Parts: sequence; C-alpha cells; structure tokens
Amino acid sequence: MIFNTILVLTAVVFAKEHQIIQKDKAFDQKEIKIKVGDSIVFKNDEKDITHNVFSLGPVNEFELKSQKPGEASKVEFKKEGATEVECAIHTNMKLKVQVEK
Amino acid sequence: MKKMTFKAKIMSIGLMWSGMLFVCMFTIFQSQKVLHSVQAEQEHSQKIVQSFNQLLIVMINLETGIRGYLLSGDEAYLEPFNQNEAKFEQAARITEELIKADSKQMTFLTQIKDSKQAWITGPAVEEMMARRKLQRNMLTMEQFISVFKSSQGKTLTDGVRKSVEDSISLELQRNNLIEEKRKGASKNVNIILFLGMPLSIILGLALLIISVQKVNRQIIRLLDSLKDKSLALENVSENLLNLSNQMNSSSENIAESAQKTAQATDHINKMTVQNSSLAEQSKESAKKCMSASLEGIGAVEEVLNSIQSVSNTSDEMLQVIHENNNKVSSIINLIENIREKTNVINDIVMQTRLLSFNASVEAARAGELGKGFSVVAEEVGKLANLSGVAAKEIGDLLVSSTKEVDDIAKNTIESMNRYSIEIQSKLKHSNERAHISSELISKMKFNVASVEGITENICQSSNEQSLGLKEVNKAIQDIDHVTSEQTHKSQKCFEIAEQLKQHSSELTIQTQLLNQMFGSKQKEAS
Repeated sequence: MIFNTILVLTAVVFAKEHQIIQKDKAFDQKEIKIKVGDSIVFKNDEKDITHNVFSLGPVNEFELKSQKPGEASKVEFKKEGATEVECAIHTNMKLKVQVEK
Repeated sequence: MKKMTFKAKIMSIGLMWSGMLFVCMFTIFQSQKVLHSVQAEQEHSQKIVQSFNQLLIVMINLETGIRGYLLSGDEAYLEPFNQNEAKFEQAARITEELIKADSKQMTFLTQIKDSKQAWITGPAVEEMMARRKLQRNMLTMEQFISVFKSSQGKTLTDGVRKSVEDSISLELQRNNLIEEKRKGASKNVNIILFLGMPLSIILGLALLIISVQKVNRQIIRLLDSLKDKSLALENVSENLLNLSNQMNSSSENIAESAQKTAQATDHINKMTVQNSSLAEQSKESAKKCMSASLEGIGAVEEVLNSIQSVSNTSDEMLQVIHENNNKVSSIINLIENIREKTNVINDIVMQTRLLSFNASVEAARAGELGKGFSVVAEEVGKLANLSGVAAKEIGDLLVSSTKEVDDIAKNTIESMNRYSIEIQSKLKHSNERAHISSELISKMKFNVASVEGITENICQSSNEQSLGLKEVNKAIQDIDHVTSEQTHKSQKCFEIAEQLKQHSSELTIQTQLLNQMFGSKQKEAS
C-alpha cells in the first residue's frame, strides 16, 4: 500500500505533459512514447474541421467527443501498454501511444 | 406670346422641345437604371440560390460519405465526406456574405449550420464509433443496427434540406417580384421609345413650323419698319453732321473764352497777392497803432499821476499857507501883546511922570537940598515923556503893523483860496479830460485790435482767395484741356456721323435685300 502510494506520488510529481496537434486531418506524430501518468493534450489546429478523438483500448480507453477548431483537451494515460488513438470521423487519423513505466 | 422677343420665342420653342426630349430621355434613363438595378438584384438572388444549392450539395456529399462507410465499412466510401468537409464552412461563409443584410435568409443559414454541426458532432460520430466497434467486434450487428436506427442523423440532415428548400423558395419568390419590376421598367422604355419620342418629335416640329411662320411675319414687319428707320437715320446723320460742326465751333469759342478767363484770373491773382501784401502792411500799421495806443494809455496814466501829484502839492501848499496864516495870527497876537505891553509902558510912563512930578514937588519943598533931586526928577520926567512918546509911536506902529499883517493874512488867504479853487477846478477838469483820453485810447486800442483781426482775416482770405484762384486757374486749364478733347471728339463725332450716314445708306440697301428675301412685296413696290 505504502509502495503504491509512493509510486503514485512519484508519478504525479514527475508526470509530463505532451502535445499532439491535429492538422490537415492528421496527427502531427504517428507514434509517441510516454510514461505512466503522463498526459497528452490533443489540440485541433484545423480551420473548418471538427475532430472526435478516441481510443478503444485495449488499455487507456477514452473519448474526447467533438473538438471544434482551436479547442484542446488533455488525456492522462494511467496504465502501461500500447493503445491506438483515432478520430471517429476521419479514419486515416491514427496515433500509436506507447505507455511505459 | 406676342410680347416676347424673337430670341425668347425661338429659345422657348427650343426649350420646350428640349424639355420634351429631356423628359423622354430621363424616363428612359430612369427605366434603364431600374433595369440595371433589377438585373443586379436578379444576379444577386441567383447567386444566393446557387450558394444555398452548393450548401445542399456539400451536405448531401457529407451524408453520402458517412452512409457509404457505415454501410460498407470501407474507408473508400468516406471519400465524398473527406472531399467536402472543409467546403461546407467555405460555402457557408460565401452565403453569409451574400445574405448578411437579409435577416430571413440569415435565419435559414443559421438553422442549416446548426443542424449540420449538430449532425456532425452528434449522430454522425455515434454511428461512426459504432461502426468502428462493430469492425473490432466490440458490438454485434444487431447492436450496431439498433444504434443506427435510434440515431437522430436523418432528422438533422432532413432539417438541413428543409432549410435550404425554404431559403431557395424565398429567393425564388423575390426573383418573381424582381422580374415583375423588370417587366414594368421594360414596358416604360418601350412606351417612351415607340410613343413618347415620335410624339415629342412631331409636336416639336409643329411648334417649330408655327413659330417660324410667326417669326417670319414679324421679321417682315420689322424690316418694313427698319427701312423707314434707316431713312430717318440718314436724316439724323445729316443733322448730326451739322451739329458736330456747330459743336466744333462752340468748342473753339469756349477754348478762346477759357484763355481769356485764365488771363483775367491771373490778373485777379496778382491783385489778390497785392491785396494780401497791403493787408500785411495794414496789419503791421495796426500793430504799431496798438503799440502807440498802449504808450498813450501809459502817458495818460502818467498825466493822471502828475495831476494827482499837483493836487496833492496844492493841498500841501494850502496846508502850508494855512499854517502860515496861523503863524501870522500868532504874530498878530504877539503884536497885540506887545501893544498891551506898550500900554503897560505908557502906564509906567504916566506913573513915572507922576512920580517925577511928585519928586519935583518934593524937591521943591526940600529947597536947596532938593535941587539936585529936582533935576533928576525933571530928567526922569523927560525920560518918561520920551518913553511915552516912544511907546505911543510903538503903539501906533503896532496898530498899523497889526492892520497890515492882518490885511496881508486876509489877502493871502483869500488869494490862496481863490487860487486853490481855480487849481482844484482845473485839476478836476484835467482829470476828467485825462479819463476821457484814457477811455478814447482804450476804445482806439480795441478798434485797432479789431482792425488787426480784420486785417488778419483779410490776409487769410486773400491767401485762400489766391489758392482758390489757383484752383480756378487749374479748372480753367482743365476746361481748356476738356475743350481741346471736346474739339477732338466733335471732329471724331463728325467722322462718325459721316460713317453713320454711310452705314444708314448701306442699311437701307440691306433692308431692301431682306425685304426681297422675306417676301415683303408691298414695300418693295412702294
């Protein structure tokens, strides 16, 4: 218990924030490696296009719902493992997130 | 109309015609403007219809892409969506730019945009997510169909289509109204072109013909009159020639008179200068008189002072005489006293005689002894007699002296009083005369001052007169100059009169020609 608490606190203290830009119906990176507890900010830099970023897992599932141009949303990745982030409308938009310890 | 001038008549006809043509042209211009405006409105309306149609096409493409993918699961079917997704916002912006002043259309556009946004962020995402999950076996086909059936996507896309149809319908109604306006404007242009223009031309021509006829008649009448006037003008020119000659000779006479007047003025001017000089001299004399009168006043004052002094001296002399009289009176008193004292001496002499007599008597009684005494007594008696005689003489002398002194004193007083009265009388008379002289000199001084003032005025007037004469001289020179000019002008006038005569002759010939031109046969015959 104490070990887990220490681990969480350490993760909180050393957690990093990454940014992924959505532009021209694509993520600005194809793959990203982050640490457990890190978070990614997904920012919509399009002019007229709305995005809907989600992940179906197997770990760190999430769905940001609709993101209008100029909006940004943060997602924390708490579990270790690989996951694929996509856009619900734009099927070509794919980002592989590798969460490591 | 009859009272109007030819120019006014022609101008008014021209103006009327121009006015009618202007009205026609203005109406055509206005109709053309309306047509252009209507055309622009129609083009704008068509653009709006096209832009709404474009929005509908984009929306159909988006829907087609999504539905194709949902049905097939193949990303290739999403192509219409991917190609048109960005176009929707662009088309919406273009449409908004076209209808920004139209609140109704803006409402429809807002509804379209809201419905599209609600569809793309709601049902479309849900359905796409469901399809993804189906592909990854996270949902069964039944669950996917259930999601698809319960989705509000169709309702929203139908809403978009409905709004587009409404907006296009509204625009078409407007288009119909614009078309009616266009037809009305075209009709006006046609009416003006096929009815107004020919009518105005015919009316204008009719007016022109009538006016020309009227003007022609009036010109003929005028020409007849002009011919008479030109003949009269010839006579007038003749008279003017004679008059010019007379004027010329008059001008020469005036010039001569002006010359004489100038000479006379020069003479007057010289006289004025002389007058001025004399006035200056008079002024100087008056000043001298003034000075002399002032001196006279001084002298009279001195005389008065002298008279006063004489008067004072006379008074003093009277005083002295009076004092002398008093002294004479004192002398008389003294003489009186002496006479009294002489009487005393007489008494003493009497007493001495008595005493010498008594002594003689006594000496006689004494005899021989008294003989010497009797001699003394006799001598004393003799002395007493002598003294008595002397006293009597003194007394007589005193009486005569007193009388003489008294007489002298009385005479002196009387003489002095008489002289004093005379002196006083003469002094009074002199004083009066001196005062009269003083008054006369004062009057003379006043008169001299008046004379000086008058002389000053004369002097000033002479100077002013001299200036005036100079101006008169200048005016005469001007008259002379003007007369010369007048002579020159009268000569010119003569020349002009000759020219006028020549022109009037030419005018008569021209009038005859015009009469022939405008058909005034009556006069020509005459």
